Amino acid sequence: MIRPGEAKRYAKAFLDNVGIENAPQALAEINSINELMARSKEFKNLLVNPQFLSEERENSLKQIAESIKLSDKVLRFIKHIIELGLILHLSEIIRIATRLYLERKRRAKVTVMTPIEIGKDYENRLISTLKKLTDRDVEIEYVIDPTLLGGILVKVDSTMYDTSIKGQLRLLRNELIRR
Amino acid sequence: MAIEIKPEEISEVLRKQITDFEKRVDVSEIGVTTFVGDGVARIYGMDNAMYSELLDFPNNVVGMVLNLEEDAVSAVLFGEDKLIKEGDIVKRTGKVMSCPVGKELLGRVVDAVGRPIDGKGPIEAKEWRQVDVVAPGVIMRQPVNTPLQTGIKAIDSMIPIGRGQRELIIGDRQTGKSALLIDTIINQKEEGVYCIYCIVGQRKSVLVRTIDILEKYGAMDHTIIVAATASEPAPMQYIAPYSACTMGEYFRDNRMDALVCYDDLSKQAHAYRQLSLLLRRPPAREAYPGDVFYLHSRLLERASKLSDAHGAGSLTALPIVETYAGDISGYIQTNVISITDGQIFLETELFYGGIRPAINAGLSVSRVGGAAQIKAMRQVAGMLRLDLAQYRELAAFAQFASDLDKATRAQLERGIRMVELLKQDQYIPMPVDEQIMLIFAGTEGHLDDLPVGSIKAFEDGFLRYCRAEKQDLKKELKEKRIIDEDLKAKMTEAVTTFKKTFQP
Ligand SMILES: Nc1ncnc2c1ncn2[C@@H]1O[C@H](COP(=O)(O)OP(=O)(O)OP(=O)(O)O)[C@@H](O)[C@H]1O
Ligand SMILES: [Mg+2]
Repeated sequence: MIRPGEAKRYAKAFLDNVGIENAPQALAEINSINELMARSKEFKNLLVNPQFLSEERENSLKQIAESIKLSDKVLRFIKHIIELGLILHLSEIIRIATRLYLERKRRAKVTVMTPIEIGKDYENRLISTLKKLTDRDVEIEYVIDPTLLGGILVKVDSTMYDTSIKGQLRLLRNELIRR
Repeated sequence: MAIEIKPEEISEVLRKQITDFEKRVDVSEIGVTTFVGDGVARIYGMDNAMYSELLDFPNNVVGMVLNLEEDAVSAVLFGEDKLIKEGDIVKRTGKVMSCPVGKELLGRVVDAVGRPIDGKGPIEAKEWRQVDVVAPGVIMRQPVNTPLQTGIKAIDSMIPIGRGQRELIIGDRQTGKSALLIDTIINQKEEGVYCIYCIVGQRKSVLVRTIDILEKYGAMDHTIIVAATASEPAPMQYIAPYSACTMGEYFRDNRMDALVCYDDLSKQAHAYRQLSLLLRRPPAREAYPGDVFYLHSRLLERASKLSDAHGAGSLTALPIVETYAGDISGYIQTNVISITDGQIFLETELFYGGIRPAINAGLSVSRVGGAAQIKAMRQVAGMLRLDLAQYRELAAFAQFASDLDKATRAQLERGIRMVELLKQDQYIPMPVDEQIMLIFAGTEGHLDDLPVGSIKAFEDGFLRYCRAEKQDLKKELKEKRIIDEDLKAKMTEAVTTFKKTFQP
């Protein structure tokens, strides 16, 4: 487990290192490493298992870096995080770095989940509402999730607004169980 | 009377509830799991989460917040950590851990959060309570004034426990610690005290055996067993004593008397240490976190005797703490000794020397229970304590002296018989009037001329005789609760009459 404040320290260091202008690209790169870890057990094992020699690890990492076109700075950062034994907490570091970046840019990131793609005029209305809500420029990530069945689910910072049918059904279920 | 349920009625009720169900936006505070493993999780975000708040993870896993940091919180999981993965959304619930309480739980075996594990179906509890609450303040309390009869001669006479007291049972492994608790619980059948037996960090076989014994001696009807065995995740072992205490408080707060036994708090401390280390809290002495004192103090403080204005209910706590090679100066041991109102110290040497229960009378004390002891017991126990103290001093000394004067020898002989008299088998707790009669026989010197080997036979015979022939005397003793001249004469008469028929 990571120590209090440690994730933030490395998140800041990361942003300073890559520079604020390159941050979106660097964050996307480092995120791809994190996703790879979540998808592939072998890759995760390579990064965390102490049985691998650091040489072996470095070589493999280099090859992977080339194939997914990782910039030097990001690669160095990853290596450093591995040495510190914090690679399992990369996800937290990325999330903090993303937040810090958005704060500096006075932007807010919002995730919008719907069962089907939403129309253009609805999208415009959504954006203006969210701008008002967050008092910032919003950057929206759209996710299509058919299991929602209907309605919309919006995540802003650490608040989730859920009007999806799935969510309503869950509330109804809880209500019925409670009686 | 069978209740007839018509399917149409049910669907009508459901239909109504569904129509009444209003569509609304479900606004919740969320975080994202960034790490799971070893039964703990880290969650990014969740800025407003509170200490010990419950969190909703996917797949119905529940977590409890134990660390609050600037950007993240750490939580322990009450369920499989394999069901959760990085990136999962976690929701705040705004609730803290609670468990069912009430008489519906009596006779049941439940897990650390009050879910039945005895296969006897669901528990229809009418009330739920938060498990980690603040102990009653001084205004709500009164000093202990009613005895909690354990039915164990050595304890009720020399280390008396009062209702609402906290008395520690401490000793090495396999010295009969749990046996004391079980006998005490069996004895409450006649005493009207509800019992909660909390088993933490023990093998499953111990749990099964305990249930068997309590059932066999008819003690389950007034008892709840709360179990978090060694195979349960550490968070369950950590929370179990608090749930057990909460179930006991229900009885206390409703004008009843309850006893909660923690078997044992060393194992709970181990679980808490494990959690704390996984959560990266700074380790202190013996690698326990700095707040391990508070872990036990806030639990044991909840034992209390309430004032008359608050219903005069009581909750007595009997925690067990294990020692290693008789060392009571360990961290947890000294902590709990300082929190409780006294301790009963059990020794391996005595246990294997055949003195069972293996209570070291010299090192055991009860700081408040004396006030609750019934007068008659106090009268005979005073002499007993004196006899034994003198015996201990002389016994050490007598090993070196070859010829002893007559008085010393007499004292030694008396002491040996008293030690013999205080031995007691398991599962036969003794009513207090019988204890008084026996100890009276000993302290008045009626056993001095009997061979040591026949004390047990005397005890059995004398008690049988009293039950058959001296019902009136027993009753009088129970009612008067004090030995006056008249009663003393009658008791002496009973002993001498029986002795005439007794063949050692
Ligand atoms: N008064 C007694 N007379 C005879 N045997 C006893 C007595 N008390 C306990 N024993 C026996 O001693 C053994 C250990 O007792 P018990 O399990 O109560 O000890 P413990 O200190 O709780 O052990 P552990 O450390 O394993 O929890 C058991 O087999 C029990 O039956
Ligand atoms: Mg035991």
